[in-house]
Amino acid sequence: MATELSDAEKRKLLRERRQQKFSNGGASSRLNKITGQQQNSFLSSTSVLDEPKVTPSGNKKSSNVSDEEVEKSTKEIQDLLSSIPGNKDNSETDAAETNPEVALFQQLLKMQQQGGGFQNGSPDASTPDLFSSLLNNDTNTTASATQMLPNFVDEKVLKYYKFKVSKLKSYIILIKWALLAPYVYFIMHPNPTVLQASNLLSQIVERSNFFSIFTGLEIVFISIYYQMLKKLQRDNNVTATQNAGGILKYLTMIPEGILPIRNIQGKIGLALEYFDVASMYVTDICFVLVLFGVMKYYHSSFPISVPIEPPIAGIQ
Amino acid sequence: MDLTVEPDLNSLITSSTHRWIFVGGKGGVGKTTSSCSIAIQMALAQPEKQYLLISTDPAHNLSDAFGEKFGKDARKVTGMNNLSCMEIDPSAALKDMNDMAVANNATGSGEFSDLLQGGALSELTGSIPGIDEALSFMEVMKHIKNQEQGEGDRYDTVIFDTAPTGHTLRFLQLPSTLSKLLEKFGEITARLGPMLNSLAGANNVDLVGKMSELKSNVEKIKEQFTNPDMTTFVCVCISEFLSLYETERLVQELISYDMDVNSIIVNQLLFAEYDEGDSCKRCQSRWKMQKKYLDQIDELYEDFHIVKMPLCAGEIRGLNNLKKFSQFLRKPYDPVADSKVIYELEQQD
Repeated sequence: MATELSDAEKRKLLRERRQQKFSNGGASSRLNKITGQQQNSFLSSTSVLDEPKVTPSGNKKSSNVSDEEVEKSTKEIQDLLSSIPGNKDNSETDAAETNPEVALFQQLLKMQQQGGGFQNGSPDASTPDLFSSLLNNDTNTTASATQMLPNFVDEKVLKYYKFKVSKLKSYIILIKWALLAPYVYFIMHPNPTVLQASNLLSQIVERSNFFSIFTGLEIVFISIYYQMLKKLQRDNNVTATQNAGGILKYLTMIPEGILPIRNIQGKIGLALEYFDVASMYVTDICFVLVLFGVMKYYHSSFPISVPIEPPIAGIQ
Repeated sequence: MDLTVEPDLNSLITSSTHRWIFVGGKGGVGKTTSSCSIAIQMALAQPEKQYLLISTDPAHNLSDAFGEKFGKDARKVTGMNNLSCMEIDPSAALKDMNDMAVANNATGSGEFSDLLQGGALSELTGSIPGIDEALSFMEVMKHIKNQEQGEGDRYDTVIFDTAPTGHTLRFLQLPSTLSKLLEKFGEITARLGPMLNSLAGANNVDLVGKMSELKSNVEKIKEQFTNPDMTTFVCVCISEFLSLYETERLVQELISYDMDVNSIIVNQLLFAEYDEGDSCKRCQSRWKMQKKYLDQIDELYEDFHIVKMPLCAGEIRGLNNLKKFSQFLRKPYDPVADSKVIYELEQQD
């Protein structure tokens, strides 16, 4: 017995049937059917419905983003990032998921493509807009697409840069502490007779000279660190302000002119950089103080017995 | 189980649930004529309801289609009590906003007022890409607000005579893009709310409050646009290769936005084999081509309402002509019985 369907049920069923026809590659196949009618047609038969999704909310990835050149240019940095321990965010999809700005940028890029009409994705000349202007600055649209993803690349570069800076800092501290530990050992030694053989060495282990030598050592190492940091910034094309944390991000939201100080972002960025260097000095002072305590305890607990020289004959 | 789809728009025209109807397609396929026809038929079928036809196309045609001037404010169509029309005019809307800004700043410091006196704001913002879409969107928000608060003119259904495909898709994506932007903005304001409010405090503007209100409105629009009982899109095309291709792309884009699309109007069909007297060789040849694409349309869109509309001998302008033409949205055009209608259209001076 045939069942009568209500209008709403019929509409729902038809809707589902329509959606089914467009799913699982059906959409592209339909476009292919249309373009197949015409010989020498240059129209794309790739459907938006068959493009991979980048966000759970259903926004599709821009076709420009998946361009081979973009993939090639980002592959290298992705490989580098994948080698960094603990780095999970090494895919384009993750970047869009974890970074709403990237997803939004891709969506805006896609809207621009739609806005420009469908034919070969070329921008509509009658309605030039920001994206079209950007594209027009470069005749190579693929190259432009690559340029239009600075956030995506910068994000990766920034992570890589931060990793390198942490590594550099760790090495510098390690070397410094490796030198400071024996130095403090001898400084705290109650009878450093071994080093008194040389005048220079005896001057070095002289307690009154400790502060000058420690500060000299700090200046040398901090200078080396600062120079290497600058080199890293140049190599990775990262500025101090880009690497700075939350304070600068909030400062960028304040329009220029509101605050009485000009270029406050640059100044605070520089101050943060000096603070980073100064914090290394403070850390070393703390380390040395702890070492003093440890060595004092060590020398008092384990006194080195000074050999008693035999009496010289004739003196007795 | 009968799942055949009628070749007319009766279900849409007599619908009591639809609040937003978009009519769109490639340029020059007859979007304005189709949207006017749908609006007229809806207004005739349900006289107790109020309808508003909005043109969001920067190159407006509504005034010419009805043969009377419409502006940025809704105005009733002469001869129809329940159908109003308006053309969204970015420059006029921005000029109003500029004047309002001048008026608001008149009491404050004179510098800003002086800056705006020459219409600087409208000139500056008028060239912003996508401003037409943004203003159309503002109009949608205004109607939703009116509907809720019972203020201003209330309309049961708003029909959009949209711009060519690209602009329209941009407009339809605005809710999700805005929603994302506002979400991001919400995160920032959650942290900086008091500071932002104190910055805006000089003018007693509750910035965070306004933003959350805007966000809730945008979410509401998004929800309504993706509800198939409230919103639908009518695609208009002609039986030609490029038009068919663009229609298919449009349908797919709309599906990707979770928007309902179930009707396609195929305009400018010649039905040349039924022509009386000497048949035009060019018409016959063109009809042959149209038939080829019509077969493909029938095959591709078997689950859609496909409405085949004839190419008329004269221009379809003026309420009477539109009424005559629009009848075929409800009763499919019969090339034999209805052929005289296409020659009956009154000439508009």
